Amino acid sequence: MTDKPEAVHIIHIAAPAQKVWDALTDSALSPSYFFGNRFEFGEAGGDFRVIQPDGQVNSQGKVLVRDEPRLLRVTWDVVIYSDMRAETPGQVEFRLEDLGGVVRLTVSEFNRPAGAVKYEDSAREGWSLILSGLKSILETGKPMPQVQPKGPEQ
Amino acid sequence: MNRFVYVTYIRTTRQKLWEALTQPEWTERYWFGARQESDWTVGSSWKLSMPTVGLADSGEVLEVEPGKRLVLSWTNQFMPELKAEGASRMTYDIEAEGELVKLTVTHESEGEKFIAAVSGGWPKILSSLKSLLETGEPLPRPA
Repeated sequence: MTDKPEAVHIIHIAAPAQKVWDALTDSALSPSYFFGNRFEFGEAGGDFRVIQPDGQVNSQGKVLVRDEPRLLRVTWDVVIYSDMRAETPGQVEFRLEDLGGVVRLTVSEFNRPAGAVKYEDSAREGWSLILSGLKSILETGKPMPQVQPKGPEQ
Repeated sequence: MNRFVYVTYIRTTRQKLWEALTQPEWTERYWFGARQESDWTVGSSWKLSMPTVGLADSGEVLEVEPGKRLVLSWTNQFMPELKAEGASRMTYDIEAEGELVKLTVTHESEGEKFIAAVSGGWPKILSSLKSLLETGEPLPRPA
């Protein structure tokens, strides 16, 4: 695979990098900005999972890099949509850069499975919702009102 | 065609967001001092000035639907290699989603360098806009 992402989502958040990192990796907090889903990031080499509100596993993978509070990279296999699965799962990287009082958080999608192309717009909206919600909760102390992403049409 | 798309969700109303996108008193707060000049009617001219460079960009208003949609032609005026790429097309689409407003910014150009430049700029500007509307304070100016 090349190391050029197929998609990049960027947001700037007025918070210290450590707080952004903590919010991203706190399984108990993630449902408040991830439409009820829960992020579970293990240690480097460990497991990564996205658990839906109904308890089902939405996505799973491995934690490739965990360099707190700068870089988190996982393999990401969307197990609930069969046409998004591929022999080599895609990867998602979270990069946090401290710009002095503001953190630039960059989410990059690598090696997206061919079947994911038709989900490009809903993936962009989904990531936008997650990052907008994460920013709101860190800057205002309150979760953003919930909006369910439309999700891919099956 | 090169294309940059950015989507953000803001806790505000469509009317407030429209004001923030079009009125210079608002833009200079979150857009790091940038002021726009236009009467926002189709066919009118549009200008964007920055404190550091003066006239930064200019163009024409192509479509206006207050609170919903604004389309501008947009030509860079202060960086020769971007200016040489000619006019781009920038669209704001505004939709209400429950208590949130979804803002989609689409910037398209035949020019590759121009789109690369705005791809770095828009996330900063739109993040600052969201901060201002939700907290009353924009993001601090980049050092």
